[in-house]
Amino acid sequence: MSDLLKRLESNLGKKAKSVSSTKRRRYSITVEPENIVDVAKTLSEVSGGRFMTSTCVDEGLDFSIMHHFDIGGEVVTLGSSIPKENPQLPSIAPVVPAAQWIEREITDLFGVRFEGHPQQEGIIANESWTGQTPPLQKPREGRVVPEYRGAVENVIALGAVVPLSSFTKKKREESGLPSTTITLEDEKALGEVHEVIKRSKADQRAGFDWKKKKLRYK
Amino acid sequence: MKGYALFLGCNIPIRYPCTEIATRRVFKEFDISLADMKGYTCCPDPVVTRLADAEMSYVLSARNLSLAEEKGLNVMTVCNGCQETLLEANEALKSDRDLRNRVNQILSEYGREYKGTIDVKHAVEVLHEDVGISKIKERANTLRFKAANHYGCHIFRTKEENEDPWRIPNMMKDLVDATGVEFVEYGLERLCCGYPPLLADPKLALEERLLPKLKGIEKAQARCVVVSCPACMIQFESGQVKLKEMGAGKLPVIHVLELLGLAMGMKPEELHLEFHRSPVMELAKEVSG
Repeated sequence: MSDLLKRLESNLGKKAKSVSSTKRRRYSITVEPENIVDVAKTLSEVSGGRFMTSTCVDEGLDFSIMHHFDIGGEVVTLGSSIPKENPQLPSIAPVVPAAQWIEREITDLFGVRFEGHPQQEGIIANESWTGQTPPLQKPREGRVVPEYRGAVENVIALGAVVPLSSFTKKKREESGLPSTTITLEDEKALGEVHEVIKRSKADQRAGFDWKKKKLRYK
Repeated sequence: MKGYALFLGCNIPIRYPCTEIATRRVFKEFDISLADMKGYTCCPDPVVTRLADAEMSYVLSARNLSLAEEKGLNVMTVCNGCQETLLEANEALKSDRDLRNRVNQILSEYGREYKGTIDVKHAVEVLHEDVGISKIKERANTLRFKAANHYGCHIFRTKEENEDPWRIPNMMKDLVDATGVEFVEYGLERLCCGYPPLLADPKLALEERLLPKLKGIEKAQARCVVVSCPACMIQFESGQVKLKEMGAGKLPVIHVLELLGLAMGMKPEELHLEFHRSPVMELAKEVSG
């Protein structure tokens, strides 16, 4: 493990979700949005990092925001992911003033709002863009093709491709069949299946919203 | 008494309880016990879920297989899609240690483990191999009408590389023959019913897959089509309604286990054949006297 990696892990502690070396002289730190300012401050003030620039990638359902620092000739990227339904991230500009312009550019081009930015106004886009979809923002889309979305939602939410109707349930009882043992009728088993799906990260890959029991895109 | 863990899948308990009734009764008659798999999920389906997320598909299949392993029983399916999914997942998990480890890491948190100790068999295979055609013929040789078979694509999947893909379809032929039904050929037995592409391309699924089959079966003068898969059953029954304006009639569509039940003397009302969207009940009442 390199000295820098050790120092980063030690300085950041639990504020970082992960700290890793991606290739020679390149490091990646991922954080939850609420920790991005503290970690940027540590990189700048404790680790002696020089802010280089920021990038934003439209991942379809989420934006990935990455702030890049030069620490003694090595590049450290601080990244966080935010949902496109609510594209807000705390601004690092109050603690890293050099990030002011690039955060404003990202706002103009992608529509990401940086909370706490000292100068929240356009910098690059023409005024005629106001009120329109930002020029680099793509439609909110996930990996499941439209035709298969209903079936995938049912498998994740119910453990079955189709729900059991009250009519069929009644008819099953009338015909003397036992209650079906599929997860539809078994809350404990369905709860286990939900956890198994979450652990396999299939819900994240599909872009499933557990509160709405739907995919995050139509 | 032999026994299996009964994997009914989604469509049979939810859309075709009549097939479930027939399955439970036919196997009871032949002294084969069927244990319910408490808390199982969709197999998951071999087209949509596997394409959408292969890893999730393996995890759910492994969990289902582990439920049967806990009972120390081989799995018996009644649906071609479930058969293909669970058979292929079982083979992949047995042979790919990394995949098995990844899957077991997830399952172990819930006290489960996929061990790779069981096999997966379709009900058609179980009847053919465990009961035997001669014994079935003794009990079931009572029906006297013409029927066509639709085997369904997924039943042609093989476990071994050099296995004859017609192994299970031929067993289904034997089962239908054992009921006394006159089996007629229509030349398009191997054509897909159109269910898998239905979501992606309904026109192709209905007009270029199902319709030619329906016309062929009508020309061969079959009174019904026998299937071994509830998905094919949905496609044949709902598809006929959608194709009404293009000349589709009202061909009864019956699962091979329902046909066996009728042939063994079970009453159409007891089998609750009213769950079908095609006139299976009418045909059953007529032919079973």
